[in-house]
Amino acid sequence: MIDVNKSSAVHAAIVVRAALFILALAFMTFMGFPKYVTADEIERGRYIFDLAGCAGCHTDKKSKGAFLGGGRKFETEFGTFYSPNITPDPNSGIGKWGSTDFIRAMREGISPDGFNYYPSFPYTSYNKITDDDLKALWAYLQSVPPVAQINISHNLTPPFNWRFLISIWKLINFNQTPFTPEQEKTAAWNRGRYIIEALSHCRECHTPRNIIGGLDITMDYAGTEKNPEGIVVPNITTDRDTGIGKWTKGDIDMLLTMGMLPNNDFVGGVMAESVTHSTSKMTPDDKSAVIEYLGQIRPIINPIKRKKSANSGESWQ
Amino acid sequence: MRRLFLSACAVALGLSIFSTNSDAYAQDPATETAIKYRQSVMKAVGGNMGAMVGIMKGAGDKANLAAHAGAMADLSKIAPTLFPAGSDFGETTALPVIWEKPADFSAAIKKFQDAADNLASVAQSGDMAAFGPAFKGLGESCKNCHENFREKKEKK
Repeated sequence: MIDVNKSSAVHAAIVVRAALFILALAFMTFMGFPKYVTADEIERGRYIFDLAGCAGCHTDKKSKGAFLGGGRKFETEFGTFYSPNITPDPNSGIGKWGSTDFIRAMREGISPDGFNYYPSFPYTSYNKITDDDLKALWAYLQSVPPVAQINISHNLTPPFNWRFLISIWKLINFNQTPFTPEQEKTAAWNRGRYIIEALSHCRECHTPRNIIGGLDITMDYAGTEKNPEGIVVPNITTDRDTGIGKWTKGDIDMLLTMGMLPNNDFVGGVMAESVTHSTSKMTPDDKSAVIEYLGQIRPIINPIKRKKSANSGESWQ
Repeated sequence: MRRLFLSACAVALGLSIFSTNSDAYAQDPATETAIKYRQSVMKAVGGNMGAMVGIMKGAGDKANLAAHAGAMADLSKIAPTLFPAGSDFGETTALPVIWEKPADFSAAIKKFQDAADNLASVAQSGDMAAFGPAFKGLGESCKNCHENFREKKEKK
């Protein structure tokens, strides 16, 4: 009797376990198997991170701030923005985020709490990043050392401090069409366009903005004499006189690789940062893809000069 | 009516000439000279960089790389004297942070000097395989300084 009881108890346990196992299997099949993050994926994510130039804004280099700890100040005509901490610190960083939170922030510009980010965070470009690249980027971001550094709130001028207005801003200025390669163009052209439009978010500086800070696509890449930070941004369209239409492929290569311009000057400020963080780290293939796409950007005549510099004799050409 | 319009135009013209003149005299000539000197030396720096790119692309004689690299090493020694106090005012893209954080600026100049010395000695040795990377190192020191200490921004 005792034996029988014992064996039936064992039987019951086996049945329960088997049932649980089958249930778990069914659940995982339905929900997708958990994906283990590999070292390769993190490495791939680091490259996406470099091309996307995240370190530039999210590290307060001028005050020798911690890597990705945020706090970099941006003084604009809309007020002062401070970049947030994007390290995996659970309290001050994004350590409590899941991958869906991250993807929503990058794609839609919406925080895990459901509020809209200001477009100073260039989700208008990051929206076009592919799922695979976002996943790799998320894997990398989770691998960086956490930094406990509390975010500083933006200090904006009314009405720009009314966050609910961002939803209206988005209706007008946020084009959420996903990136779609153009079949009749080469793979390199499409890759170059993807890097320029989505990852390296070149438009965010090189395309002028309208009065409420939305990108003026009719002047795509034509530069501005005064961006929201008051910085002079050159015309990088293929116009021969006011853009970079006279540059050779070698000229663009020198710029992307080390920041040297055809007039023997070296870029400064934000573009120097972009070269340091981003373009100098591009693979040779990606660099030639970028060069191919840049060479086919529609020419727009838009002369850019630094204001109040009549006798400095400086220009980008 | 017509006379009133014309005299208004004349006044406006007179005012605009006056304001242009006052702008031209607003700067201290010594400051302007210092800025002009700095920009001239920077042009010489750029000229030597451009000449080396030209030679690397196949123009001229490779033996002349040593002359240009040597000139860079010499010019880098002049660099610390190019930024006297007060020369952040006027037509310059030099940022005030040069004078606000002198230790950081000196470190950046030192980087430039080290990279220029390195390129000069590589060029002297004639080791062409090492020249490219050394040139890139020097370029990085140029960009490093421009990244932190120069910005083409609207003047406030």
